[in-house]
Amino acid sequence: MAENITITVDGRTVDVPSGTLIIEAARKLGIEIPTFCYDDRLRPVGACRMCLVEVEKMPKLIASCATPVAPNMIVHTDSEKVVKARKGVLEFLLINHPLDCPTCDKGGECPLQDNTYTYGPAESRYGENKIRFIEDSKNQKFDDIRLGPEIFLNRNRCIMCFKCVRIVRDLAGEADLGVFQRGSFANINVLEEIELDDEFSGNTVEYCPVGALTSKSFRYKIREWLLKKSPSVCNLCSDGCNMNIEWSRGEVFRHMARRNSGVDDGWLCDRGRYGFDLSRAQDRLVRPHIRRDNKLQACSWDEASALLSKHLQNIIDTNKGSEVAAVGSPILSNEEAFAIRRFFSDVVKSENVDFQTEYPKPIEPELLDLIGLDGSIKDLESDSTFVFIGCDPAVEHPVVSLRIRKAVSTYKAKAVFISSHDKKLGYFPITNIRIPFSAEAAAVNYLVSRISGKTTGDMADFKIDPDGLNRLADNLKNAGRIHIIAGREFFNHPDRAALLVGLIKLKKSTGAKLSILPPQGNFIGVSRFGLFPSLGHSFENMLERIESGEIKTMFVFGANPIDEYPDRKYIHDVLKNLEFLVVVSPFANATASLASVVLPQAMLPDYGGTFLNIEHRAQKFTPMTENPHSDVKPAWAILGELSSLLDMGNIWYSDSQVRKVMIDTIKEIEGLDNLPDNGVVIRFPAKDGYDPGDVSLAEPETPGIDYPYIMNWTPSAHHHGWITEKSDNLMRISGKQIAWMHPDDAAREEISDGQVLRIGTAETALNLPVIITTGVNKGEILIVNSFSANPVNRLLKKGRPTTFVSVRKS
Amino acid sequence: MADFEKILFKNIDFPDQDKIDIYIKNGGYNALRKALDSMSPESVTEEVIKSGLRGRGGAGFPTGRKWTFLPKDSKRPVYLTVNADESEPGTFKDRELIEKDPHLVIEGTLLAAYAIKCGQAYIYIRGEFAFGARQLNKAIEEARAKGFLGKNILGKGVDIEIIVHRGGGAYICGEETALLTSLEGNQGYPRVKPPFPAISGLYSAPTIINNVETLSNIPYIINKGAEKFSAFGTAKSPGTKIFCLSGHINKPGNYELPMGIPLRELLYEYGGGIKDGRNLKAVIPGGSSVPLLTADKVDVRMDFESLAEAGTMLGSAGVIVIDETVCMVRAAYNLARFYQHESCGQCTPCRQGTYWILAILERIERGRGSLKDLDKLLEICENIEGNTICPLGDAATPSVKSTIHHFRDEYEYHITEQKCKVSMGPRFE
Ligand SMILES: Cc1cc2nc3c(=O)[nH]c(=O)nc-3n(C[C@H](O)[C@H](O)[C@H](O)COP(=O)(O)O)c2cc1C
Ligand code: SF4
Ligand code: SF4
Ligand code: FES
Repeated sequence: MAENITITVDGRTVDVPSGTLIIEAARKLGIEIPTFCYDDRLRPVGACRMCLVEVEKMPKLIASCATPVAPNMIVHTDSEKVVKARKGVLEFLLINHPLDCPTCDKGGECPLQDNTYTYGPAESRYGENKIRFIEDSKNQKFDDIRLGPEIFLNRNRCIMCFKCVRIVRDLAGEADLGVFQRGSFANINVLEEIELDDEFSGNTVEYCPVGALTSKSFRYKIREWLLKKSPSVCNLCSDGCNMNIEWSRGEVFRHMARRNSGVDDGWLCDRGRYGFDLSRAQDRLVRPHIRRDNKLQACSWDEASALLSKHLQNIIDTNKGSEVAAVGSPILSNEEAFAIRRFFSDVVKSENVDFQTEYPKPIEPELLDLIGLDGSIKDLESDSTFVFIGCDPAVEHPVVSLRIRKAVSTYKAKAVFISSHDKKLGYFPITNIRIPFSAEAAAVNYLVSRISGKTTGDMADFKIDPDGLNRLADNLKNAGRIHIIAGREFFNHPDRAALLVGLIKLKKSTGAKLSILPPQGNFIGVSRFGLFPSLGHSFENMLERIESGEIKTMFVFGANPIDEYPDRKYIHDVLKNLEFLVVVSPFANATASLASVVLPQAMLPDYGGTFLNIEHRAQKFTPMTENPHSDVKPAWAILGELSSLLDMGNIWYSDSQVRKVMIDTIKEIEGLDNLPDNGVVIRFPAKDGYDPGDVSLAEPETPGIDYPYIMNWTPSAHHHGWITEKSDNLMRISGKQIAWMHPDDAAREEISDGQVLRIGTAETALNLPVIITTGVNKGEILIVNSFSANPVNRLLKKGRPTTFVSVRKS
Repeated sequence: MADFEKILFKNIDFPDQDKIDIYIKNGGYNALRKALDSMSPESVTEEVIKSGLRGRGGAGFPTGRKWTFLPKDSKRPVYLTVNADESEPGTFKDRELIEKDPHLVIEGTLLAAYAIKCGQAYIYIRGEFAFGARQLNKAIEEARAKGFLGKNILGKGVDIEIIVHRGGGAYICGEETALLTSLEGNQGYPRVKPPFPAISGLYSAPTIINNVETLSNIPYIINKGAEKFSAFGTAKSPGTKIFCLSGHINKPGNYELPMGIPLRELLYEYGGGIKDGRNLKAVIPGGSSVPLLTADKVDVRMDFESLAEAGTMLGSAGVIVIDETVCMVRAAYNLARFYQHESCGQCTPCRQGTYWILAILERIERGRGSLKDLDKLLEICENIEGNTICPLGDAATPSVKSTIHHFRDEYEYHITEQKCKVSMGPRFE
């Protein structure tokens, strides 16, 4: 441990660990030193010189943001010299600044404005011409340049604090942004043909200390002081980043980070940030609909509830609860999940609940305890080897991946990906070990044998080149803290049982941490608070029972199986068999269009509640207090009203009241009662000793002559799950669906980069532009993104581990 | 004329001195042989400390002392970088050494590397010095062929490699930390100190940066001993120094002379006097970054202490001679243009201050100045000085301040009469 050092700041002493920066020592005493370029999460550059302080016995003022304390330092943050230097810095910063506060988006929340009022000179002595950076685009001259689909830059307002550059380069690990020219002509820009569109680009706008960087979705819309802030938690992935929803008159204008140092550390990814427009998307459902004359028609809540209660009353009266099933989804809150379970158990008398509509198989009950992060998010920074199997952290866990990027970029950790296609963490150095699609189980078993010195099976069957695995096995033998992380592809995996056995053995033989991380928002919460099919049928079984006529009524909450279930034709045919389908959804979608009743569901800014993130941290989100969508309701409100119409108790009227009932029912969650701002990690007792036994590996399937390629697909950083495509912002940033193909295959099929590819099965096909890359295996096609207009699940076949496709020029 | 022995330029004009055979014939590589044969690295450092040699890159820091700042038992490799970026206006001494006597530079580098136990040295050379870089690379290959460089030097089990790296032509890359950043392949931005390069320099490893001329003194110190070296010059500024004479002087060029030689002697005996017999107006004694001396100060001695006493600095010993035909406003403007152009743009006071100074001087030059501008200029200088990351900011102000201080009348004439007091013809149409 580093020893402590005592220094004096403005006459008061403070004791801090050696290595602490002067500015942080002062902060500990409550002394705020003004800054522009300092951010405790970024490498100090000492560029703006706003934080200069006087240290006795030092000839010059020093930058407190870049200088660590030394024993017995006597620091003055407010001496005459300091005040003069600060004034000088502010005067310098303003000489070439356009002083266009009235038209600048940053006005009201601008550190330059604030510091100038507090510390600056009152008047300008500058009488010369200002440097003006202009973009001459077809002779229309603009101050602003487009850096990417969301981000614009006005270089005239820039004060060269290098925050944006450090965020892009050091944090995200991308190379997009840089400084061009020198001296007062130095300016931030991107190279021609480069776009600033990495998954964290929006942070540059939030942390720019002036209005130089702006977001297309926010600029020129509203003044900061007119915005109200509702503390919330993003649920577009399972990381649970804290944020503020900023809104005015019921309209959301932006999402801003709300720093929780245990979770997001103040960063938001672009999916969470720019997905703020979801609540007012075109497809947003704001009124109930019922089917009349075979058409869904808008109606009042009274009408819809009357219809539903009549239908349910009938079921209750005839004791036919087992004919009813309910499916939820990870977009639901804990309270919604709980209410759904209670309603169907207590009122309808059906235990048929599930939420896993997008995976071929439900997870085993024992697996529940293994799901989630082993250790805390913060702990990731001190792991030394990450092995990712079936997980793409940049896509599935953007902000949590920043911890891993930090460990990797500071050479404290190595990251290895075992995958059928190349994955990355920006340009930070990582290792990709490539295996054929769905050979993860075989690869993991091979690693285990190799590490424990047993004979390794023949990898030729699985077409695995063992070199990379051998090297990894040797490294794992004497690596420090190993962390094995499985993700989305694990849940989707055709041979999941064998993969799980392998992962558990690998964990045991290396002493590693093992995390199995579901990527979707509140997956863990809904599974823990009621929607896991512990007593009734899983979704998979429900579908069979619908086919056989045993289940006739289904409620769908926030899910969209038609677009997500891995066999579109099958799920469509099955759901059509239902007598009565009720879809509760924030958006119109393909599933809703089959329904008898469609109910408009509340989503993030409309209601309050809690989510659980990957580390089981319960965190609270709160609604806007004005909402133009007066008819949207969370599931508990809908079901509470139905209960009361049915005269059955279970009347829920607020998220906190539902939570109280939950706490009474489930003892581990007392902490939910009074959630602090940074949430509470809930410890569910693990049913220990889960031993899945031995499972033999499934034989790899080989494609036939007519359909010689194996198809795989992946979501992307900006589009994940069925909801994100409803956001115009996110589709503008990354609305592309493409197919990756190996150069050898492209040569054989005479296909060139960018051409449109017809990827077909016997029944159907998708047409997609192709990227030719060695990032994918020979004989495999990887589709990036699925959209309801061109859904990948059209190609998938229920019960089959892989889909074989033909490929030709379209 | 001064009585002394040439240390650096002894063989500078010897035919084919850049060829290793001639260099050896003139006594070259004896010092390296002596050090490896009979001296430990510590005793080489000891000898350099005893000699009192001070850095010739500008700051005059004692060279041997600097070497002792390296951590004693670093697990990281130690690097030596030779600063051959020579871009200070009025300075052209390193260039002559490199081009004409490259083996002297290489031998000095090898000795320093040996002393600090460095296996990999870099020579960071100004981009424009294409010929110099070729000379150094040729010398390195010749030295390698003779076993003076590379693996197991002279069979003594010492390995030292030297890589010549050409810069991109930025003045700022002569500043030691910017040099390191540039050498690492990044934009040449100076770094905040601490940490000092001796602790965390190139690739975050302990690093020593020395000027070409500084290191070229080492072979002599090892050959002849510290006492011999410090017999020349003054007590606190021992040894000889290359003075770069330029400007309005009859015989411009490099002159190696003992430290402490009077400026008058340098100008009139060696430099042959002011060009065309005109009157001396001022001298900038240490490269463009130091305050000027007016003609009446011509008796000052050219060493670190005497010049400091006279309110200026020895700097890089680029002696720029200014005669009576020069308009001092124009001179200040010219230098301000240089600093504005060369500021890296990283920190606020230098980035904006150099631009502001230039803008005001340009306005005064155009005849649109106001008397208030002069105090404003001085205040801008004050707000830059000491407040920047690297000394380039401080280097930009002396030319402005000292011209205003000594030649305020010329500024005022410019402002009130809208023309030069000393007419140099129009700069701006
Ligand atoms: C803007 C600036 C430019 C510099 N340029 C050079 C240069 O071209 N050559 C040089 O040797 N030192 C230069 N220096 C000084 C170096 O930073 C450093 O002090 C010197 O290389 C140390 O070597 P020495 O101890 O042998 O003098 C420069 C300093 C500054 C602030
Ligand atoms: S654009 Fe903003 S964040 Fe980037 S350097 Fe300029 S002021 Fe800083
Ligand atoms: S003083 Fe000038 S050259 Fe030095 S770091 Fe600052 S801006 Fe760059
Ligand atoms: S905040 Fe310290 S230099 Fe910018």
